Amino acid sequence: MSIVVQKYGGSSVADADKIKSIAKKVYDVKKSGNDVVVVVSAMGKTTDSLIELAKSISSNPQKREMDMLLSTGERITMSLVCIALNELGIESISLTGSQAGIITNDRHNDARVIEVRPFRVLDELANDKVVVVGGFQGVSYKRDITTLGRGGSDTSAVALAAALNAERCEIYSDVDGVYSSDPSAISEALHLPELSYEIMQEMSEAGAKVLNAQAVQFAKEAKIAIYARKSSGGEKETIVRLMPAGLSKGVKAVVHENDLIRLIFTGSKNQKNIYEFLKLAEKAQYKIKELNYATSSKKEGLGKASIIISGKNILDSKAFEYELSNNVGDEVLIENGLGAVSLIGDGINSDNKIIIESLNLLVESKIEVLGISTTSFRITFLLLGNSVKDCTRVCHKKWIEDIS
Amino acid sequence: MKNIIVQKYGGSSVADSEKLKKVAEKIAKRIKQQFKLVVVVSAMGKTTDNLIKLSKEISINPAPRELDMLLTTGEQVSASLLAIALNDIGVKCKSLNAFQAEILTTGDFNQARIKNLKVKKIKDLLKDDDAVIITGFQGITEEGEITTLGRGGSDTSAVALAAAMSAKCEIYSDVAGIFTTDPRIHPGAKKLKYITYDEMLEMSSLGAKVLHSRSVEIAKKFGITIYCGSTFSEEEGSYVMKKNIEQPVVSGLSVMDNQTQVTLSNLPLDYTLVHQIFEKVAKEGLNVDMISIISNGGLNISFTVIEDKKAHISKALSQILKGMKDLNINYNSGYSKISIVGIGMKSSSGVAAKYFKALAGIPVKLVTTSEIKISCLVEEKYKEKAVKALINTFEL
Repeated sequence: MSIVVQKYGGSSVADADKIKSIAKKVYDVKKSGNDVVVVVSAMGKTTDSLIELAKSISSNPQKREMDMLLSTGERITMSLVCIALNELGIESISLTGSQAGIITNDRHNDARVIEVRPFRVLDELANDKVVVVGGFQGVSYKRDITTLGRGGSDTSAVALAAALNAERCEIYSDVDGVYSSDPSAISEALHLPELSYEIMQEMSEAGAKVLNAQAVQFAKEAKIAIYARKSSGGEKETIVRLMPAGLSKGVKAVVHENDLIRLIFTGSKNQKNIYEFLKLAEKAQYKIKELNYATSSKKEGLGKASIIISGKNILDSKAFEYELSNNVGDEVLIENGLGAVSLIGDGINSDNKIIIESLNLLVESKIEVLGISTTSFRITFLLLGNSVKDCTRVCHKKWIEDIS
Repeated sequence: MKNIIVQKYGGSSVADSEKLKKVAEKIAKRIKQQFKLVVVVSAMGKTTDNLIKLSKEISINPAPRELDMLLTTGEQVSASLLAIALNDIGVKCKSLNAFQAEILTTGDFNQARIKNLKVKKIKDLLKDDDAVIITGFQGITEEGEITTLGRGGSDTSAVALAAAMSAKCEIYSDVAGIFTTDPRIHPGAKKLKYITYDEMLEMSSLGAKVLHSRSVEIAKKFGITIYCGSTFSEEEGSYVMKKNIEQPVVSGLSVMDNQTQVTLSNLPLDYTLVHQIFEKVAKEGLNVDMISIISNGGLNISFTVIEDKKAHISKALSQILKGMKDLNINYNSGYSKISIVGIGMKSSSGVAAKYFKALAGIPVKLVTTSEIKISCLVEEKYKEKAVKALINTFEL
C-alpha cells in the first residue's frame, strides 16, 4: 500500500468545523486505499497568542521554554483531528514530534531535523490507523522539546514522507500553490504549476513563505514530489519535483524578505571580530543569512566584512545590542530594518544581462541598493525596508509580467 | 544539596500572566531562604474546561487517549510560562513535562495511577538550577503514551514527587487551607490547623474539593505532611498529617449534592444475588455509596449513586435482574448526602446520639457510618436546615 503524507496549515484547522472538514478529506484518501499520515500545524493564531502571552511575562523568554510552550499548539490540533477521525469511524492515533521519532539538534526555536526514526508511525500504519503527527516540533538528544522555526510543519511532513518512503507529500494551506511573487503583495503574480527543487529552495531561503527551505531540501534528497494545494479545494496546485535542468531560463520568481539586520565590521580586527560574533551567534542561536568577508593581501587594512542576520529570531533587540558590544566591542555598525528582494531562476547568472538591466532599472526607479549577492540561481538586492515593495514591483513587472 | 520543597499551584493561582509573575515572586522568596524548589502546576484558569468543550464540539464521546493528549497541553503551557517568569527575575529553572520527568503511570487514560517516579532528572537539574517546574496532572506509560491522573490530579503529582524526593509538600490554591465545611457556602466555617489523613480522605471522598483523595492516600502511605495554604495571602493554612494534635471529636462537615437513591425491594433471600448485583455495578465502573441491606423474609437493598449515572445504573440492573417477578426498583433523585468526619469519634461515645438529636424533625432516608464518619441522606430541601443544625451542634 502506498503512503501519502498530508500537511494542513494553521488556517486549515482554525476551528472545530474546519477540523471536521479536514477529517472528511483524510477519510476519503484513506478509503481510497492509502496509508495516510497527517501532519498538522497549530490552530489559526494559536502560536501568535502563545508568543504574546510569553512576552507579557518576559521581554526575553528562554528559547527552550518557548519551545515547550509553542509545541502545545500542534498537540491540541492533532488530538482534535483524531477525535474528528474517530467520530467518522476511522481509527487514528496522534503522535507528538517526539513520539513520531523526529530527532533534531538542540537549536531551540530553529532546530534542524537530523534524523527521523519512524518505527512507531510504521507500527500504527500497520495497525491500519491514520497517524496524525504534530508538526513543527521534535525532540533533541537531551530529550528537550524543540521547534523547527517558521514553516516547520512543512519540514516535519516532508521529513516523515522521506523516512516513510511515501509516494507523495501534499501540503495544504490557504493558497493554491506557489506564485512568481507573493500574491498578497503583487496582484499580477503568476501561478507556477511546477518547479524544480533547486528553484523552490532558493525561493524559500529568500523569504517565500509557501514552503520551508529545509522541507524542500529533504524532498530533494529523498526525491519525493511535493504537492502544494489549497485546503478548501480548487483546480490549481504546484508540484515541486525533479526537473531536467535548463528547460526554463530566466527569472522565474521575485521574492522579498523583511526584518533583516546587517552588521558591518568597521575596525581593523575584522577576522577576530567575525569569529567572536559567530561564536556569539552560535550560542544565542541567531540565524545567519549571509556572511561577507574580504581583505586585501596587498594592502593592510583594506578590506571589509559584513553579516546579515534575520531579525525574526531576535526577540529583544536591546539585549542583542548589549551582547554584541560585550563580545565584539564597538567596531561594528548595526543596520536594523533592512529588506531584500531576490530574482530567482535557472541560469540567472549565466550572463550578466539580468543583473545589469536590473541595476539600471533600480537606478531609474530611484531605489537605493545597499548590497548585492548572487548564486547560480539567484540575484539578491539588499535594500532599506521601505523600498522592498517598490523594488519587488518593478522587478516583477520587468522580468515576469512584461516577458510572459 | 539544600532542602527541597515540593510546591503545587492550582489553576486559579496561575490563571493569567500577572498571577504567574506573583507566583514566581513567591517562589523566589522561598529560594532566598535557601531552599530548592520542585514546583507542580495545573493548567491556567479554565483551560482544561475550554479544551474539553472544544473536543465536545467535535465528538460527544472523544477517545480517552486523545483527550489526554489534548488536556495535557494545559499544564505544559503554564509550566513553561512559569519557567519564563522565574528566569525573568533571575531564578534559574527549567520546565519538565511528564515524559521528561519520567512520571510513570498505568495506561488507564483519563484516570491513570502513578506507578513509579524516577526523580534522577529532577535531582540532576537541581544541582545547577534553583527550581524545576513540573506539569501536574499527567504521566507517561512505559510505552511512552501520555496519560492524565483524573481531575485534581496535580495534587497527586505533587505529593508523589514529595514522597519520592523525601521533601516537604506545600499545596497552594485560592482557599487558605482546610475548613470545617465549604467556606464559600457557609462563611462561618472555621479553618482547621490540623487534620489527619483519614479525616481528609473522608472529606475528599465526600465532596470537599480541597485535595484529590489519591494525593492524601499517597501522603498517608509515605508519611508526607501536606501544607495547604493560600497562594496570594500570608494567612497561615492547614496541615494534613498523621496525628491531629488538637484531637477534636468532629473536624469537618461535607455535603454532596445530586444523589439518587436506588431501592430494590422484594428480592429473594439469596446473597449470591447481592454479590452479582455489586459485581455488575463494579464492572460498569459505577461508584455506589451508602449501601444498606435488610432481610425480612426477602431482601431489600438500597444504595446511592450520582444523579447523572441513573440511566447507566438502571440499564445495568435491568440486565442482571431481568425476569424477576415481584421485584420493585425505585429511583429517588434530588437528595444530598451530609457527613461529619472526625478522628475523635473513634474514642468518644455519644456522637451518634448528638447527631440524631441535631437532625430531629428532618426526614433522614439513609444513614451510614464508619469509625470516623457519619453520613445521612436527606432531600435537598432539608439540606440547609440539616447543615446548620450540625454546624451548631458540633461547633464547626
